[in-house]
Amino acid sequence: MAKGKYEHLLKPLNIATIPQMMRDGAGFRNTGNADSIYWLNGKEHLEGLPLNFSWGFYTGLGDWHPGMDPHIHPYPEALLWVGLDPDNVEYLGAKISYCLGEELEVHTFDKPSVVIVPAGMPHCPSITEDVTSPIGYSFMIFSLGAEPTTTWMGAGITDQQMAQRQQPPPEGARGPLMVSSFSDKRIEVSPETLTYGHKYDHLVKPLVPFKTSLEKLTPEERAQFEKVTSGGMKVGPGNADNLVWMYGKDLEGLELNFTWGFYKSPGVWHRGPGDSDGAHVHPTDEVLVFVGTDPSDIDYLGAEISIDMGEEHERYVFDRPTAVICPRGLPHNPVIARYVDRPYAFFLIGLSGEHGTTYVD
Amino acid sequence: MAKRKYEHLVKPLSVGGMDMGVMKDLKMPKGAFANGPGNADTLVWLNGRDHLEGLNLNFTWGFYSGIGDWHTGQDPHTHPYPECLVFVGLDSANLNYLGAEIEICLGEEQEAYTFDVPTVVSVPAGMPHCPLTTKRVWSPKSFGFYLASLGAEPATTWMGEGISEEVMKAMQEAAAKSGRQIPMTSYVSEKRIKKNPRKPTGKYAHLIKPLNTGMVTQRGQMLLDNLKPEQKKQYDEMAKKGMKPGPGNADHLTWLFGRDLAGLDVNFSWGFYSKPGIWHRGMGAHVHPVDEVLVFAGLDPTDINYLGAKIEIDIGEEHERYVFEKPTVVICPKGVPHAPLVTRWVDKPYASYGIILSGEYKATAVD
Repeated sequence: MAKGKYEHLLKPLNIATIPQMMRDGAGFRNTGNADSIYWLNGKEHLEGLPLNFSWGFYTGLGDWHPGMDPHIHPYPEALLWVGLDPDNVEYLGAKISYCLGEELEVHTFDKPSVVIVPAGMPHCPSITEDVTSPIGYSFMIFSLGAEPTTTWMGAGITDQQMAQRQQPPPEGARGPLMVSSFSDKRIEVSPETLTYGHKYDHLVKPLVPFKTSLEKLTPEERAQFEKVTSGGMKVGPGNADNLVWMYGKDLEGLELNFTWGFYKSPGVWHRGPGDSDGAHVHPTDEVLVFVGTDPSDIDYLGAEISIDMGEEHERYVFDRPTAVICPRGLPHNPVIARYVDRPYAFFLIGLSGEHGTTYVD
Repeated sequence: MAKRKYEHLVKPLSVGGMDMGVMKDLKMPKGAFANGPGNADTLVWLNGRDHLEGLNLNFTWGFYSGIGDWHTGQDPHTHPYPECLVFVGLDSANLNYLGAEIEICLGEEQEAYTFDVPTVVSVPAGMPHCPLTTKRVWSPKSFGFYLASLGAEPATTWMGEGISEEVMKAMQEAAAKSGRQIPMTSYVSEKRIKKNPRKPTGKYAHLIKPLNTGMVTQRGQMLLDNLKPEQKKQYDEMAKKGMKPGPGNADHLTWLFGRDLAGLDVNFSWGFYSKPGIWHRGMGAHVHPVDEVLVFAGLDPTDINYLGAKIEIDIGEEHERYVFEKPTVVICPKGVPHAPLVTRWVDKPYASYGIILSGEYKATAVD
């Protein structure tokens, strides 16, 4: 990747690969947890942004953190389950059950979904009940805190699990990934303690593709969409065929908006406005994350992408999974896919409930 | 915008625009330049002296729909430099479609050769050639034509019986009055030749090559089975370097070299492009030991200033990026790094041709 003034804003995701030994050591082997995963946080990787996020591939069945849940975080988060079929953004290929609240209210879904978890609210166990996709599925965490922090509340936590989390990381390994503590209050998870109410239904939402949602826009949403596309911007050939875009109003008021989509074609992502093809700034920080869709190699992107950063239009080119940090006020774009060997995926994480955009040249 | 180091190397083709409507309407004696009914409807003509930073080249691009002689009464003619006359179709799905029948006379004997597929005619310096006659046009879009002439200053000596110094003078004056400059320096030969096309003996057949005799790419794939041994060797060398076409490269393309062009010191490509993305994978910025120009032209005969795509190219070791969406020529002097080429979007298929001032193509990657 070219060196330049903004190179600190482009991070290959593999700077935050969690080694298998650490995942095994966390007691998550042979569970529903990730086969391979990146987890970047504001403190170590994202230039101090109040954000940590993950991207991983999943094929296993069962509880993700056996015995340890529920747990809480001091920050809110959005948890996304997505499929890996680039032709169908509405396909998950798995069945998930997820507990919310101290009530352990069980919610089950088999479509791409987001679960919104307010700060301090107990959540999990997360259980992969079934995987029907032959290549598994993916999962992302968008957590609004710079430092991953968890307080575990499960009644089944063993002394060994507690000890594992208090050990220094293995030599050469990055860590600790998560600042863990253990609540004095423990919650028993069993068939008898699970509940099946609807108190938290509003926290579980399907990911609705943009094309579908566009047809059903409220006047307010239509105004927001037109604001983004004002000034002559239109979709370029490299952009997503169909994507999901959710805002704070869809996410129970979180200061977050995100996109999710598959990208299959070369070319510029946005045409216009202006000669620069859409260089713009936002009033809040955002992170653009480019990931591959090959579960056998999390370090494979399958495309070569260029993006301009800064008012100087410094261009950066990458062909590995990468996060691009766009601090508020910093011009960025155009994004151009130079080639695509295999459909790749992209998600935007904007640290505001709305997506304010001002084109700059 | 601040002046950039290489901006003099990127020129819109419109800098060489010739308003053929005005040219044809000029009140001058019958037989003056461009007065032939078969000549261009619209044309750009760029030359080394005025537009191409002194390169030993002048080239054209134009759309043609008329039937008849291109330079009534003026031909045959000669140039002090060799040139290639390239006749191409405008069907971006078919490299082998011309949509017209052309007759060109070669030599003092005026051996008349006729073709109806995309073709290049190589004309050595000083060799009389033409009349050039469009016999039929059946393409609803007309056809395209470009010259690649290996001289910085367009210069012609007309030998036809229908031309005189007076006609030449009147033409220049009429053009000047209309505010037009004719880039061609015209002379009239003392020796005149009466227009008298003859049946070809085959003496000049080696100067006429269908474009599909070059290294041909069709639907994005090079036709390896059609390659001659020397073409296969050239292809293998490129492949060995890890070069392969990117998604933005040509759907259909042909490439001819000096050996295909009567030994002229030139090689050129002609191709149709319809997709976004990078043009080459495995080789980015590179240099050539000789000068070249890369020409990007639209395929809409109703608007010669329409390209239908937006393209970026890096020039110089600093990778200064230039972006354009109008028909453009990029001048790549020998030793100046250029590329990658990336097509940002395509609204309509367009054409591109490279003219490289050597019989062979050599490229060295620089980063």
